[in-house]
Amino acid sequence: MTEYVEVKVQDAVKGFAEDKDAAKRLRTYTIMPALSANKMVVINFSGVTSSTQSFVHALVGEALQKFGEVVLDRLEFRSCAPQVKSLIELVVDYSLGGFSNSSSAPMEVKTGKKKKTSETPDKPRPRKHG
Amino acid sequence: MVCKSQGMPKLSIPNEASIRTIRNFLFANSPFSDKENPARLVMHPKWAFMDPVAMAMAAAWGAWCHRNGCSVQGENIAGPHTKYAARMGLFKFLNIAHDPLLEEHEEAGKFIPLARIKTSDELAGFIGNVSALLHLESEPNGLAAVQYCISELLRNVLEHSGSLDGAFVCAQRYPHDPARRVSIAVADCGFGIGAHLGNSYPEARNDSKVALQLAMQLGVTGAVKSGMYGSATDNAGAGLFFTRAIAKATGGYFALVSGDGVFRIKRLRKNDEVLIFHDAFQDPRHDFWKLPWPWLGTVAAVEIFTQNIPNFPKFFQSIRQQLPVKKTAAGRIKFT
Repeated sequence: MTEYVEVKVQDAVKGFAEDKDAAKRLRTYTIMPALSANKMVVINFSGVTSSTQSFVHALVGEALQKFGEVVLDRLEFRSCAPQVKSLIELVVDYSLGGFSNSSSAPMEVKTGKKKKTSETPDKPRPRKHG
Repeated sequence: MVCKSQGMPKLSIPNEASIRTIRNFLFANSPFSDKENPARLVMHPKWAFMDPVAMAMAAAWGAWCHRNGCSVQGENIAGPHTKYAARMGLFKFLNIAHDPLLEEHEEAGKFIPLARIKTSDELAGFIGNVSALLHLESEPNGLAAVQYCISELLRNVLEHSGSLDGAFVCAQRYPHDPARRVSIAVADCGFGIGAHLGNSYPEARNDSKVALQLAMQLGVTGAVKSGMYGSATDNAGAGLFFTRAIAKATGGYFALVSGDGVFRIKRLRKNDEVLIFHDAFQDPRHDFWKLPWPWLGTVAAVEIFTQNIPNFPKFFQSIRQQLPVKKTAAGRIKFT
């Protein structure tokens, strides 16, 4: 049976995970050594509500670049919030293949139903600020 | 007092200094090259609407002045029109004496006053206060979007700008706007984008348009392959792309200033489609101006209409599905 190491992200960051320095420490001292020793790595995102692409990249980008797609067989992502899951998919895709320069078509982005915004100029009402 | 810079600076705040009026605000100034001494912050005598972009720029400029041996003197700062700047902490950062009675005010629910961020720990503390100070507890998706942008913009400064003064950041929430607008700005007086990207893209070094264009594209980073800070294993070059995309997706302004280049994407109009362009200069809602003087560093300003991003995960899912990656292995990822 393959030995595995569990990395609990919330031991380093809670809620909104954006601290790249913390991600780098997890990567350098736990994730990369375990993968280099052919161990399974479980990255547990329990307690993380959202994150940044930069954080996820700092956490797993190097592993993907160094070991290639095959490393996905030894990586498991546990208890990911939906936004974190999308970020992981994103980082995996570009880390393995890079961004393509061939597409120039704009992306139509969905964010759910919107309320109206307007081009109406802001009226300068300084008293409303404070 | 002798200023070590080439000339004495002056920053004039007109009756409105915002992302909307950023062109007029910047073209009316020449903050790093004026000949007067000491440095002067000149407010409009009667009326001064400053949104975070002007506030953060003024604070970063003040730090640059102090670092270069200049004190900053305020003009037209007495009166109710400067209350907001006082409450945001601008005069404290500029070391300008101001009536302290004007500065006493409850901050919760309206704005995040100016802060100087120099370390990762300070950044984490700042991010932790965003929800309470802007009262975004009931809008988790809007909060996530605001935190995302603040984090990426501040980390850019900490990791890439070389700013000796750190980053200056502030935010304002406009809860009476139907779409709940939040305006954020981060400013520094560091290397500037051209100098940073110039490590990897020499064509960006002396052309602010090229520099700004590259900085907002996916996969472009000035980080070298190895280094103490900002190595390629730590950076994908996507932070500004996503920040721009978030602003655009919610319908808000996005502005980026560095060197003599000023880039802006205007708010969405009614019935506009939300289209994110890989090359920001292809966006039909963009503006670009060249200033007659350079901003000695970088300024980024973002507007987020928090009611317009009711599903932040869906936003990322939507982006991911359309990103121009060469291959996808997402189906092979083990999620449990």
